[in-house]
Amino acid sequence: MVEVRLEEVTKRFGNVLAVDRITLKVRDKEFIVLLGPSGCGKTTTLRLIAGLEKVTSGRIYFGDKLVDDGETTYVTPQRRNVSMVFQSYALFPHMNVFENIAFPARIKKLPKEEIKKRVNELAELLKIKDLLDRKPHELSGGQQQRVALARALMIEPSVLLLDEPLANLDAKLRVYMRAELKRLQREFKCTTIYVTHDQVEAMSMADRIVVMNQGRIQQVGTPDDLYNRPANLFVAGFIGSPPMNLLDCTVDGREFLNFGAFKIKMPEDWIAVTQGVGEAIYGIRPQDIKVYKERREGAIEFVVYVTEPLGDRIVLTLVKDDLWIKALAPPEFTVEMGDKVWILFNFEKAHLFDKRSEKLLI
Amino acid sequence: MSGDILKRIAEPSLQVVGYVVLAVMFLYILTPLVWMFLTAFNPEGGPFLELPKEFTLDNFVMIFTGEPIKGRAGAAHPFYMTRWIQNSFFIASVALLLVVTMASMAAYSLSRLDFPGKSLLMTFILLIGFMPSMAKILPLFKLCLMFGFVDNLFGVAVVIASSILPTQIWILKGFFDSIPRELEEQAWVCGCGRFTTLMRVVLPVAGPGIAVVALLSFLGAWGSFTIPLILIRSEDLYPISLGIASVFIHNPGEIGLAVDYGPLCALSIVYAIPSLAIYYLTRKYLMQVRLGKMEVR
Amino acid sequence: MKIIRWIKVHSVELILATFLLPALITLIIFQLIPTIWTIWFSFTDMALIGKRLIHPRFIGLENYVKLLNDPIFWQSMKVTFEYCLASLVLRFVLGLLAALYLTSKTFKGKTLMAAVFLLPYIIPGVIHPYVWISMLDTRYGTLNRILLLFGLPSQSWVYKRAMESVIMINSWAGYALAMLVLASAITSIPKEYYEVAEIYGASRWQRFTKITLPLIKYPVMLSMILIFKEDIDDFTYVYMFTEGGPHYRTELLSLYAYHKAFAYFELGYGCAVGFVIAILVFILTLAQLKLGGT
Repeated sequence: MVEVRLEEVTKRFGNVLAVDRITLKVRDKEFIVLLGPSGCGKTTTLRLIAGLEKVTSGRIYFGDKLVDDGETTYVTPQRRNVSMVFQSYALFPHMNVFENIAFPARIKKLPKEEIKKRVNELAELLKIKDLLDRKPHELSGGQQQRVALARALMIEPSVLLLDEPLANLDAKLRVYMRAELKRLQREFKCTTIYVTHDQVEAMSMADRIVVMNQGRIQQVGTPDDLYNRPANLFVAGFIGSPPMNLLDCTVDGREFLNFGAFKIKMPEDWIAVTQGVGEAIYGIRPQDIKVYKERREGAIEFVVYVTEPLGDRIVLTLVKDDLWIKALAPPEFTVEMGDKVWILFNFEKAHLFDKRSEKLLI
Repeated sequence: MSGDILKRIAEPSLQVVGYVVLAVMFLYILTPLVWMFLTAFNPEGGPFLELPKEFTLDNFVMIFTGEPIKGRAGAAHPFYMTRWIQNSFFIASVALLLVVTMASMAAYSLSRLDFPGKSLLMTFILLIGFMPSMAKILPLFKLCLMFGFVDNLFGVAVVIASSILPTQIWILKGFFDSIPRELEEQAWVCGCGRFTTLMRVVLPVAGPGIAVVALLSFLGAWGSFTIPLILIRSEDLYPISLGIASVFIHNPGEIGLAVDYGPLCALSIVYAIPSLAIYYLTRKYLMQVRLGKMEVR
Repeated sequence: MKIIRWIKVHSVELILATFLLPALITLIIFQLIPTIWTIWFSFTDMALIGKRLIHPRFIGLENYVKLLNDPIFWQSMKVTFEYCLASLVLRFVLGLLAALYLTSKTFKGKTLMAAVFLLPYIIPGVIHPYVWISMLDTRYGTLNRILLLFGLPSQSWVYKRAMESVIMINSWAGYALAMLVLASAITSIPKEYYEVAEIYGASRWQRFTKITLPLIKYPVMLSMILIFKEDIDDFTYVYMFTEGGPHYRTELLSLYAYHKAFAYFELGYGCAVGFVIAILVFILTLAQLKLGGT
């Protein structure tokens, strides 16, 4: 078990800059998730750590050992003692499940009895014991995925790499496997690097999350950090479901935020920070907006555009002039499309971002 | 199955017509073959379809021993089936090994490697395979003299292999392309060096494709006529194709000389058996590749 | 130095590149060089015996001029075109028919069908003419017997209708190529297309003409190109069975080239014919591609 360090790692494919000066330290035994939309460079970063690609510049360390520096040093994937689970599982079609799982151990020429023992242990753990003599094409997606996992855990790797392993599973199985994976990681105590575009997965499993976009790190932090203190607009809009409302506004005079359709007076701590700021973006999560059926002091009138009853809450899409907002209401809050409602923003939970730099102001 | 036009002809009357047409096709295909089979066992076979009055193995004996049976007209030229089979077998096996090895190596390289001029190279391979034989065969004699490949079974095998290579490289490349790189990458991460990966992962998965290439190479070499015709002069090196020709070839100007039909058919059957056998052995793999062939385009 | 480092860094790729060499070398020596020689020889008066074997003279386009004035050459061209056209049609139609049977749901016995359909293609080509003797014999042959059954006159297949005989043998043996290509193409059409068409009320014939045919356009073209290429090469049947006769009635171009080179020992002239064949193939293939819209 080791810590993985990336220093100013960059990867270019021809003219395309896939990974742009990433610096990251993954702690020993940590479960870290690389999160971001398609094409953000997270899979490329994973492949660089695995050694399936070579860095264009920068350095990668496994503990104290330099494994890639883009020039003279490069350790092949065979030598890095990592395990990887691909999105497609990459199970060897000509071998049965037992042989697939046993494969890494056979390459290292471990004794037969030990291999047999360990394969059975892992199969038991992952509940695929009775599939051992089947061939991959006879298995369901979920079963294949567990075989791939078993194979990855066969030889205790320094680092466990997972590339969107749950992407091909149906929703229910995905929820189940999230919990299973987290439990497995705790049990095996591997340093685990997990790639996904699903922020719910990331939030529920990770010790820390690395949010990436366009090859760059946007923010590194615990789920709590990312949710409550997003460093920039991208992270704010990416984390959280339903996503944060991001509204254009301008600082008006000293005390007001002007949204065009209405004005709101800012609290003291906000006023202090917003001097000299022109255009900004106001961020507030749907769950931090209070909705009322009657007029209230300081509340703003909106019209209901759509209601989505989800059973435990209702998602309301509200509109005023050109401004659209999503808010959450308790299930008893019955309104119809076209009704008027009044909403109050909870400034304690809201954020303000500078429009140009997209960075967090408060 | 998809693309099922004839299913649409589900009305019973049209279906009957369909079966009738099918039966006619079967008859068309099988009649000459049935005749061949029957006449081989017929001591008095002729160019007409009929059940033999008696069954005999004499014809087979004749072609292997080269001795005309008492009371039967001999052929214009004696039979040396044993020798011919040995020669054909040698040529076909060597050609098969050469093609499978060279084509696999080249196809894997073309599938996994990228380099400037690659598409040029692939076009070259395609075009040279597409070139009509007569444009390549005429100078072959002179060329092979230089290599000592005239009257040399190994040389004949090499030349045959070279003529088969282009298509087989294309077939195998398509096959290797359909094996995901992630499979190899997974093997690397598990600790396999590239060579081990080739042996333990790539080749087994490519098995069907290689089986097809083996089949096609064998068939091509086993039935090859033109190349041995040009390169082989001495009779003891004749493969079966030349052997048949030596017995039954007519004098220039004459067509369809009176032949001894019994031995002819016996010869044909024995000649055809290995082809059928290899097809039978690899038929499982053919199913897997048939769809792969479209990807080759 | 820089080069050594480059080699070390790219050692794996270099080894992979050497995998290409055996095939490449073999192709260059035994395929490319003979082609180049054919073209070269066609500009000389090289022969297979005598002085001209060792000291051929360069005679420029003389062979080609001779070619254009050679009545047998033109006869051969005419004959080859007849052969190729008829074979193409027959091989393709039979192949399409067989492919339709193989890919249909209504007709049972697929394994049997596949085995029977492939049979002529698998058995060695040298045998084909001899196997057909029983069909073609004038007095007792099966074909004539069938004709007589329908009250039609029997034909002298081997002598008077040698070309038709060879065409028949060729299509009997060769339809399997089109069959394989087309069957594979038909099975790769997703069945959803047919289901949608059915929902919109298309008839069986409409489904065939508007879905199947357009979607197999490229495989159809491919099979035609492959068939044509094989037919132009055809040599064995005419060499063994008819020797180009009677009166050059079946003297295919490939046979003519061979005769000129090995029977008349005029290697240079033979090569000219060979080169003409090559040019023909390329021109006609390009024409086919253009017509098909590639």
